[in-house]
Amino acid sequence: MIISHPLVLFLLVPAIAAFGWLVRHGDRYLARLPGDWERLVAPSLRATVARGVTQGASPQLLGLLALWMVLVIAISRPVWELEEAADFANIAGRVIAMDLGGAADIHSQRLAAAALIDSAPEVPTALVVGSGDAFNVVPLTTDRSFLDRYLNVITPDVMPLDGQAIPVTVAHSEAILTRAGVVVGQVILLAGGEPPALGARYLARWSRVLVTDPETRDEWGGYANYLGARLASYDDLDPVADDLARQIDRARRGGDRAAVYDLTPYLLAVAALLWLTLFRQRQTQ
Amino acid sequence: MIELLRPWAFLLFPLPFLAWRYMPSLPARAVLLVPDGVRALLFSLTSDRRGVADESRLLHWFRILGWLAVLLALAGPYTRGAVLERPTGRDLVVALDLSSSMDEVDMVVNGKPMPRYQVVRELIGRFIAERRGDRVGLMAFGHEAYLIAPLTFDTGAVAEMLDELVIGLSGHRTDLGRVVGLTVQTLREQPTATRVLVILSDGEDNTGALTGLDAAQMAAAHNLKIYTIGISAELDTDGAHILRTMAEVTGGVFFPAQSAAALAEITQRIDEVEPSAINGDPEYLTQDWTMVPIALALLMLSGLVYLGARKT
Repeated sequence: MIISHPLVLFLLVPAIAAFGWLVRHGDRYLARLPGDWERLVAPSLRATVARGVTQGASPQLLGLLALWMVLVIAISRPVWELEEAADFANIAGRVIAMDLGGAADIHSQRLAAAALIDSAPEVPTALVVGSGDAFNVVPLTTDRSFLDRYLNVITPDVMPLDGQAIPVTVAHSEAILTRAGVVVGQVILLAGGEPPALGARYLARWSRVLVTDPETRDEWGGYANYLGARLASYDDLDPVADDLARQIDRARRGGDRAAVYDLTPYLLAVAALLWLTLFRQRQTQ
Repeated sequence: MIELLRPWAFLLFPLPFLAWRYMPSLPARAVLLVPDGVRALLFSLTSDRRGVADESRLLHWFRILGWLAVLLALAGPYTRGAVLERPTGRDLVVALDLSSSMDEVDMVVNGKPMPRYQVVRELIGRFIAERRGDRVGLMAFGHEAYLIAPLTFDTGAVAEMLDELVIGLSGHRTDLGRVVGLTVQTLREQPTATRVLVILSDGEDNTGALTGLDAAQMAAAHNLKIYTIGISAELDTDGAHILRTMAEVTGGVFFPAQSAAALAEITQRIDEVEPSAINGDPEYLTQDWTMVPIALALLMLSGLVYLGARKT
């Protein structure tokens, strides 16, 4: 069984605490007379009178607590995993964009790109190169040999336009993911050297990662923030792949209803029954 | 737009009335019988009665709103997100002849003569873009063969790359053997159920060590099905024969495309024989909104507990 939102289960804590408290001290609490009756009735008579006044309150409170627990478990969305979720063709796509306009070390970029491809070889990957303009070199593919062929020949010399236009490169990369209609997309920008000046901020359509040399990582912090990108360095790429894998896993389970059996409707049916008890009439004397 | 998985849940709306009417009643709160004078004194000591009545009304509304929230959650509200494509399990390579003979102007579109290649580019571009669920690759060949686009689900990108091809890119003569060889090599490592090669050529196999027929036999041994499309208003008899035999040897079909209209029809026929996922019912990634009404119900419940505790 999988709990989709496990943190929500912390909401059970107050209910369990209240339940425990009621079991231990409930009688004393429920023996209190409401409001000014406490002042009016003689202390020796209070226990007897309170038993009548608060009759039925304890089971009702327990019912409310049970209802709370059922709703909290329902909101955490427990599902029973039946089978491996289907592998949809467009479930994921990743664009590795190499910024060739700055002073980035091309060898580090190639190694990082190769390491990223190796970390998730089943995820279709596209290659984009950017300087003053950006170009799609390889479309989204899992063909490792085709990717390698281009990775090995990409150098700053092949770029027809000098300069550094990182926002253009990122926008071009995002356009590839949008056109392909992928569900989970990641743009990984391989940069280096000195970060360029910041421009106008714009919203990210896909999750972005900016990878740079470990030495200049801190200097790129502001630029990563401007791009709305997670910052990583060439020597620590595992979190980048892990992040993508988590997103893909979530999307797969959300996309394939046949792969899981959702227990939430049953919990909600129980909650509905418990809620109905709140509409019961109270006897009159 | 929000849709409901179980809209019938709202039929349960009147149940509270039935619960109120028929469910066993709660025991009565005991009442202290006190003289009128004492009661008046008590009311003067306690908070005003209107406040008590307001709280009762609030309790009532909390119950009703909470019930509505539970019903809404039970109805399963969701919105549709991205369209999901189930893979067909087919790898399809489109190989386009870019030899000089493809530049010949013998096709007619809207009464206007056009080069073979231009007509092919337009119609095949559309055919490729619509191959949803297939992994499509693009090959250009002449007396050399190049893999222009690797196998990809991004068929739009392949169609775009097709637009960038020019006559003569891979040499001016035609080597059908080389294109089949490269396709076999490309698809050999792929764990795919169906492997398909669509060759668009005028059929003039006039260079290369491996003939088209020998290559077709090799393709058949590697479970590669070849569909050949002969592009020419007057398809050379030898060319047609080579293309037909290549298709038949591998279990494919030869289509003579002597006009732009015929080529359009052929792409439809290939779609029928090798259907893509675009024809099936679309599947969507769904965003479940059940959490929102449950959160609302929890909020109402908190209110009920709070007010209930105060009342007690």
